[in-house]
Amino acid sequence: MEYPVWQLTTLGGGFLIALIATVHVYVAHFAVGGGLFLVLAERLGLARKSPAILEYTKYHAKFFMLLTMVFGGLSGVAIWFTIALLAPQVTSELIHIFVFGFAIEWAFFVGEIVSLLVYYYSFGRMRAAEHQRVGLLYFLFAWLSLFTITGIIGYMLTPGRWLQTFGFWDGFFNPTFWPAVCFRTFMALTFAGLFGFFNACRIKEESARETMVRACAVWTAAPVFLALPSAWWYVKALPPETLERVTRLAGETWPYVQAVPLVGAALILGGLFMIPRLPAGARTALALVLLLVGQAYIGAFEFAREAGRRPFLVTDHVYSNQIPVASAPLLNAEGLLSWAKWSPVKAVDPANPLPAGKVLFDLECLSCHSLGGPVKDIRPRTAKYTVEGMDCQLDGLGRVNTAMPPFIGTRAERMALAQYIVQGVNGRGPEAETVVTARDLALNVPSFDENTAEYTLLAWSAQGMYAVTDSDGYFSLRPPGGDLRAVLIRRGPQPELIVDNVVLRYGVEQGFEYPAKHSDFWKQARASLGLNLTVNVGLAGKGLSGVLDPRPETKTFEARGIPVLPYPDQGGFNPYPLVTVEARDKASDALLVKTRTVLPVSTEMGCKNCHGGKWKVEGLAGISDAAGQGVLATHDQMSRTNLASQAAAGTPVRCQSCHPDRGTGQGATKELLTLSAALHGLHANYMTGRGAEACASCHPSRADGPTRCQRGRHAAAGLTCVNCHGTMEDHSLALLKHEAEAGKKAAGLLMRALKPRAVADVGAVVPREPWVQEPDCLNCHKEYARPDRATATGFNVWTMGEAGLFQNRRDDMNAMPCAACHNAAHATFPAQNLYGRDRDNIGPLQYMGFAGTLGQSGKCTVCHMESMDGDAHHPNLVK
Amino acid sequence: MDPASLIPASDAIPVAWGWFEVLSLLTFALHLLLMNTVLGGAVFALVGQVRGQVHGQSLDTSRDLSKRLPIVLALTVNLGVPPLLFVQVLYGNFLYTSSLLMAVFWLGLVGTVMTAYALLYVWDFHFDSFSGPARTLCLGASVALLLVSAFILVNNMSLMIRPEAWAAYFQNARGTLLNLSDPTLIPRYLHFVLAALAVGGLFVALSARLKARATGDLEAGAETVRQGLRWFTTATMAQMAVGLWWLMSLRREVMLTFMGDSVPATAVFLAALVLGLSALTAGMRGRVELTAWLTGATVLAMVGVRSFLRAASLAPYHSVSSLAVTGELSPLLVFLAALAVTLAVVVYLLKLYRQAGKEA
Repeated sequence: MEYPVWQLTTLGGGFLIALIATVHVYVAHFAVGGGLFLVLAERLGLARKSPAILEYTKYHAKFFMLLTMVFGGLSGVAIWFTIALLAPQVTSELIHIFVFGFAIEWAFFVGEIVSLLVYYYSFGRMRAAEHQRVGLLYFLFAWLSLFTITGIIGYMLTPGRWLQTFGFWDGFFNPTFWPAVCFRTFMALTFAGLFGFFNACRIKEESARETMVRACAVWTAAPVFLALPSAWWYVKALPPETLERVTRLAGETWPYVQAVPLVGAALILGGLFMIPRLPAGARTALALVLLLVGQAYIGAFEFAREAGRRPFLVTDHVYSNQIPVASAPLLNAEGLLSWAKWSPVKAVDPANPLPAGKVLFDLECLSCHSLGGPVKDIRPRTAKYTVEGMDCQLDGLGRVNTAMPPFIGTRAERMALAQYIVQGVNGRGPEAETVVTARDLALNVPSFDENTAEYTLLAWSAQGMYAVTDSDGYFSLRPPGGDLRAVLIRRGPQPELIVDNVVLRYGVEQGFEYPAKHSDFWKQARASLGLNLTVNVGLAGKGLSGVLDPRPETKTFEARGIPVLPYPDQGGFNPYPLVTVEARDKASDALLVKTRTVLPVSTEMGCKNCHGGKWKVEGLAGISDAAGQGVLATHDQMSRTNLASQAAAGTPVRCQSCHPDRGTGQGATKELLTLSAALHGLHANYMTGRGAEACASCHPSRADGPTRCQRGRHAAAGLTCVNCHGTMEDHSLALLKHEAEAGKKAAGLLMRALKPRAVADVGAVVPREPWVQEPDCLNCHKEYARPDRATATGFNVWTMGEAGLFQNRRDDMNAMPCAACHNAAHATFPAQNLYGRDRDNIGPLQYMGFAGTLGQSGKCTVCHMESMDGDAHHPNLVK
Repeated sequence: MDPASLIPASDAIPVAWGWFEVLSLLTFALHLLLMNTVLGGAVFALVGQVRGQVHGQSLDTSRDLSKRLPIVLALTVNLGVPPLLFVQVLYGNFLYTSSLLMAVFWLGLVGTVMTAYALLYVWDFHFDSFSGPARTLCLGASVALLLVSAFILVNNMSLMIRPEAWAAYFQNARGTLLNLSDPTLIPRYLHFVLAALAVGGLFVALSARLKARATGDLEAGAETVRQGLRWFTTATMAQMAVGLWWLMSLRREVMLTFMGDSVPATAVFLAALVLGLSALTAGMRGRVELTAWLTGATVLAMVGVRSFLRAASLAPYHSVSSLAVTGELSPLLVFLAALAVTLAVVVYLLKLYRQAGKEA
């Protein structure tokens, strides 16, 4: 942070260095191999007594001299200039470490120039043996130049022991030095053949021409074969992390990595194709094409090497943006701006987020990203992000995508940079979410006479909030289908749960009966799920009205997968549709009792925050096509899948077709992370240091959002998601650790940059299986008592198996499900609902006349005909 | 804004600063002599070509130069590398900053030199096949590009020692600044360009003298020798006047460095003056070889003066003697060994070349 930044904008992002370096290295390698080629061509001409071959050699020497000395020499200087302009701090360090390396290379450069000039200007005038000796001396000097520069370049990729010793020779003879020297030497020989073709095709005398073309073919093809062992050696010499960056994490550079062997093969074939006697024009054209292929060969190799080095300029020592790795902790604590000598802004304050963000962009991003230019243009890469989404992206840099350095600076600086990119670069205005104010929808509470009623019917949703991903044309993560549960109690001194000889029917309220009007789920189900579903019927065969299935083993009723959606026919968004449940005598169909409850469902899934697009429905909820497409594109980019194309071709992606997930994992790949671990684990890397707002980025729990799924007693007490589930990091680590212990490698990749917050280290995190293990209520409510707010936390003690889940748990009498009296998780009675204060509390109002836990305040008459003593259901029951 | 707050931190150097200073002085003096030969020689040839076109004079000298100058330029570029390398070791934090402020021009320098170099080869290879105007245009373009290159270099070398001018970056961060507000810029530029004309003339004279000596016909190149020395003496006198202008344009405390405030700086400056005057005198007397030796010595002394000038200009901010030294000697020894072996091979190569010339 010592130097100013050259604000290249359009030509930023390494365009200059890529342009200059790739062309220079091509010519520079030719300058090595070409020297030997000249000597051997001269020897061939003399051996065959061919004036035409000697004439060709002399002409080629002139071409060689002009190209390598005029262009090669000065483009080398240009690289030096360019790196000093783009990365002066690192160039300065490189020069200071390797000044005598560069000086040695210069000495060899002197030898190169003099020998080449002598070789050319004495051609035909010097004794043959001496002339060839001059040529060989040239080749030796040129190769020594390659040898020397390879040491310095290799240091940047694999500094090896230098990181501990800071010694010249440790950096120079680094782990990839020798294989790189070998590989580059063979490349140099190949290029000699390629450039040789260019002039050989134009030799007038046929036999000389054919001789030289064949010779060039051998020079082109043979070194590619010979390079294979050194390429293998090179790869083996790479540290595992570097190799991973070249392969799995190569990202946009992956095509270049793949291109190296393909282009090598093309060179062999192209070289051999030159041997048959082709028409002169065709041969010259092919020679030119082969020259371009040669450029692609070395270009791809250099890009692949660069991929291995990212996110560093010097691996593990300096990041691509020149920030020393060792300085990161200090800069994170004190801020980058305060340490940047050339920054006109020294700290972020409310008045300067955009100017501060611009300086941060210049310091941290401009070295790799252009503004509207051909190389890594920042605009299309960030156009989809909101400020919060961009902030998450910056947070995630260097964690999962280790090809980019981490953001370095304070949290305020990160937000300023996010703001600058979104508003300053992409021109997006501030985008506040729609704040939904409370409504009071009509509520029709069924009647109940505690003195005469024979039955009590309690109904609740199993999930408390069922979140649906309605990106039907792109992916299916959670299709429509919330579960409704109920118990029918015959009241009396000894209340009895009834399942025989009765029928329980349900029906959602008017306006919600035809979800297919508002969703393409049923149109896409065949393509995405492989199912022929009846319209408006869920995966388990339940529609928007129907019969609850008796569960005799638990004496409950259940309708699974009711495909209700939060889109009423009259428009808008209502995540709390009511469902009426009636119990009827099976024989006579006489109504025994009825009740109502909400069947909560929300599509407020915030994919759009990071994946593009806007809310699909009225600025409130729903996954738009742009967001769905963005999700798949990100998956494709990170996991090298082809999901976006698959969806575009008409087959939306079912996430569970690959990722195991409870109950829907058929066909999944067992080696992959569970869906929950993959999603939380990945996203946690982009949402560190946050509280419940991280959860609300994706789930329908935003404090001012249109759903506010967290609405029960816990919400009223000021508790948030993290009190029970832990922070995003803690929550995810528990899920990932479970996967890691199952031997899934991907878990380690997602875990490596996450630090637990609730416990000291990852070792202290208790693994958990998603959906099967959840925070145990009794963690805090010890002996069912009111917890101590100061110490209560739900994290890290999980329920054992599905039977222990709150939704499946029963009282001490093994009779009443917990949720029957307390309501579903996240909506425990009394719940406060945005769409009507008591919309969640219909049961308590019906049976007790007030909102609260059923049986609260001595209201045992919900089920019992008289007052009760004791705490048979569970301790501390009577208050 | 305090300029000192903008100056980047220095990096540690592997061996004592004196090594870099000496290596830098020697290689830069050689680079200057070669650069002067190319630029001055090219201008000399250009004038000769124009005269030849207008007055029908012989083009032999220009033709001779066309064969030599591309080679000299190759060596000029080569010998430009070590001083630029070593100056980065001692003053990198200043040079990188000034380069960055004028990045567009600095990077453009490579393009101007490369094109000038290529044009010199075109001029050489097509000397006789080109028409007069084409030949003149080709060489003229090369000369113009070399003059532009020199202007860019002088801008950077003067901007790097003026941290007080760096705050201009806050108004223009696009890399298009130049050091135009520096009163020393124009005299400094003219001083170098006039030196090139002088040395170019001297090179022509020396070449003609050596050729004449080789052929044994001392009268053959006498006119060329006279003409070359006339260039040398005229340009040197003009250069001295411009040198005085440059001296007077320096900041007072910097100027006084050469007026007795610093004994070594004053001594080197006086030595350079004496050597320069001696070279001028020798040139006026037609003693080509002596003039060449004295000019070489003058350039070496002037490079020393330039080094004192840089140190004095940066004295408020920087001192090479305060740079941290890591003390890693072995790379230096390997470099010296590599250089010695290379120079031995170069001698051998030149011997082979000379023999080949004789045999041919």
